[in-house]
Amino acid sequence: MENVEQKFVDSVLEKYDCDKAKIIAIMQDIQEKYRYLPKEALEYVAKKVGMSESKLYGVATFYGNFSLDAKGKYVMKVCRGTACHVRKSSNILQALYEATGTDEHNPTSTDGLFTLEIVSCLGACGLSPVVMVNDTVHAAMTPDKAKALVEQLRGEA
Amino acid sequence: MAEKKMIIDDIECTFTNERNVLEVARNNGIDIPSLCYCENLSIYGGCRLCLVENERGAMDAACSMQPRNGMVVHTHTQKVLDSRRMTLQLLMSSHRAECLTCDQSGNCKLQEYAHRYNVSEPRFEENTYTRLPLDVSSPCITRDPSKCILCGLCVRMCSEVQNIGAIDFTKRGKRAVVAPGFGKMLSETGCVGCGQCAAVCPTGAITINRQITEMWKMLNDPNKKLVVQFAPSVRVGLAEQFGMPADEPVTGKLVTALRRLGAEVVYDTNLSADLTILEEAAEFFEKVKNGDKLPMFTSCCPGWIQHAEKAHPNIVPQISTAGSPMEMLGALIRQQFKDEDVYSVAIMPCTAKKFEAQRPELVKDGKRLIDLVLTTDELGKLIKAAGIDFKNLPDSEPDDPLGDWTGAGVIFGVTGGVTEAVIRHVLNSAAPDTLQTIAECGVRGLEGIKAFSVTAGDLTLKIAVANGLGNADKLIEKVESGEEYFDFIEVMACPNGCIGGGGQPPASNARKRERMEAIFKEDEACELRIPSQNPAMKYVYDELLKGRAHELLHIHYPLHGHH
Repeated sequence: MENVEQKFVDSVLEKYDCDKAKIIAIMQDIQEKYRYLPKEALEYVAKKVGMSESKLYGVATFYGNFSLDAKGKYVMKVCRGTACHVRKSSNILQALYEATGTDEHNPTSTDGLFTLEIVSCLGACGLSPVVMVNDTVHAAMTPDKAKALVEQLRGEA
Repeated sequence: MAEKKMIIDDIECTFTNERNVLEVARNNGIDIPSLCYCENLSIYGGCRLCLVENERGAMDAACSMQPRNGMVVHTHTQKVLDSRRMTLQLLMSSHRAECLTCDQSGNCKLQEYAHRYNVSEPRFEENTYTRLPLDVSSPCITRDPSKCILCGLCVRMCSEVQNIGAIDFTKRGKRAVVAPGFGKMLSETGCVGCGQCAAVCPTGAITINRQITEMWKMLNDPNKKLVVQFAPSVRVGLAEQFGMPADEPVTGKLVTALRRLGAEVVYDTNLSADLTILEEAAEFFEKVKNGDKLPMFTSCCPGWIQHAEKAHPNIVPQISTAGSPMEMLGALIRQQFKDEDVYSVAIMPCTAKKFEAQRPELVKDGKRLIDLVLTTDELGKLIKAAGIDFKNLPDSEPDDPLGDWTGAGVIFGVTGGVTEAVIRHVLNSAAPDTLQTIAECGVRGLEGIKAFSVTAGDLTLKIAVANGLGNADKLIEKVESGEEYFDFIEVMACPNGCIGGGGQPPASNARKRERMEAIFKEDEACELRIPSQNPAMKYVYDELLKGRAHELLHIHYPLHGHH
């Protein structure tokens, strides 16, 4: 396993008794560390818990929260829900695409820093339009503030 | 169990322990349509075609409904018919219907129901099917996701019965597709090409790789000497394609049909089944004498061999190196017609044989032992295409000098048959009561796992027979954990053995039972029933093999290791 520490996956498996009934929790822990589910890790888990690879892949692709593609250091969730939409969140999305060099089909920037995701509602309509970066909520966004945010994160990285 | 009664379509239907209303109806002569139900698999309730209406006007799926005494349902009220039509229209809108050229056409359940329920025109735009490419990576089967209706029968067959799980539901909603994990191809999974998924697929989403075109080319090539062999269970799988009963073998007609198609020489693989027994039994006693690790596993089934290689590499050295009957006859044919341009064809009940024939290990003296494998199903199509009136064909015999066979060869076609033949050979007595004792020792029957002991002289052998790879896995687990000990284990990858092979016309359990009866009828009709009685064996060893028996008849796969 090139990109995955076997020791870490083993510790997760041990935590959940290698039980296939706890497969979602196992995958959540793996995703928390790598920000996505590396294929090698899942193949290893399938063997260890006694599930077929195709079944495990089926579970991983069923839930929108699991990702099989590597994600950037900063995952930016751009809200396109109704409240954000009427306050022009489409312009913010556009600005973020331009600032990070991503688009609809390639949501992760080539430098591996940013991944853009479109979400339907973050439940913070009063702060709209909203962008969430990892666990931080940025309220009342404008295209300019969005660009400044990208620059700031790039500086921190 | 006490007999209970329910009312279906105002008819009193009796039932005992049927697992759902669908089975009760079918057992009482009322056919409720269904696309996702199979008697041997768990209940899914996904296709919604088997909806029936109860007295209060509520509808529910008959496959998921427990029959109760006094229950009343209707299977073709207006409401039910409307619902069925709607379901079919929805399924058709995401199905790539190319019925004129589809391999499954004529056997497609979706096509059948569309006609039966008068779905005259598509109600929804027919453009929502997936455009994923075909998976042609397997030499045995082809996957076409654009024809998949997501009934999940293949998924359940592969995981529940075969314990492989090569494919499963992946993704979600309209993107859902039945596929291997991580975008892999079938050849990169644990798939062994048994073809059981294709046997349960109601549409053309998983089909057997047909090689009928190659066969026609060779049949019409005057420079090739076409030699055809056919496996034991082909004679009991073919009849029903021509509207004949399944419980009678059609061996004689089969030989005539092959000759009329243009085969120059026809042999019965039963001959080399006898030969397999002689080689395998000798190998077994050699292992016993040398104190080698037991159990010894049988080697006739290519699906099993591949499964062992992929899932149990450590036990491959315990698998007999005796070639399969197809391989052995292939080797004999090459010796028999040494200086001629022979094209060697095998008619098999099996899709995995297509893979076996391609294996590099099946090359001897620089030549492929088998050039082409056709399934029972393909042969049926070939016979129809040649306009042969199969039902009314006269009988004929296979060619000499490799035309003889015994009853021990023909029973290879059913689970337990190889083992029964081995026991007949070991006890080596043709007395009727000995044969009867063997038949009743526990070796016969369609159960998934059978275990019993046989005493031969001062030797008591513990024997097990498994059919279906899931059952084989269970057995191996018990052996490896030390829970049980066996000397000899027979494994056939397909449920019920070759009579239920992936290359046979798909059949219900009842039909497979008839095929088993036909196999035993053929055996009982034989004058000679133990392998060593086969008069051709002397010719085989003295004239054809000439001391090269081990070299030509045994196959050492890489994981067998060095001997």
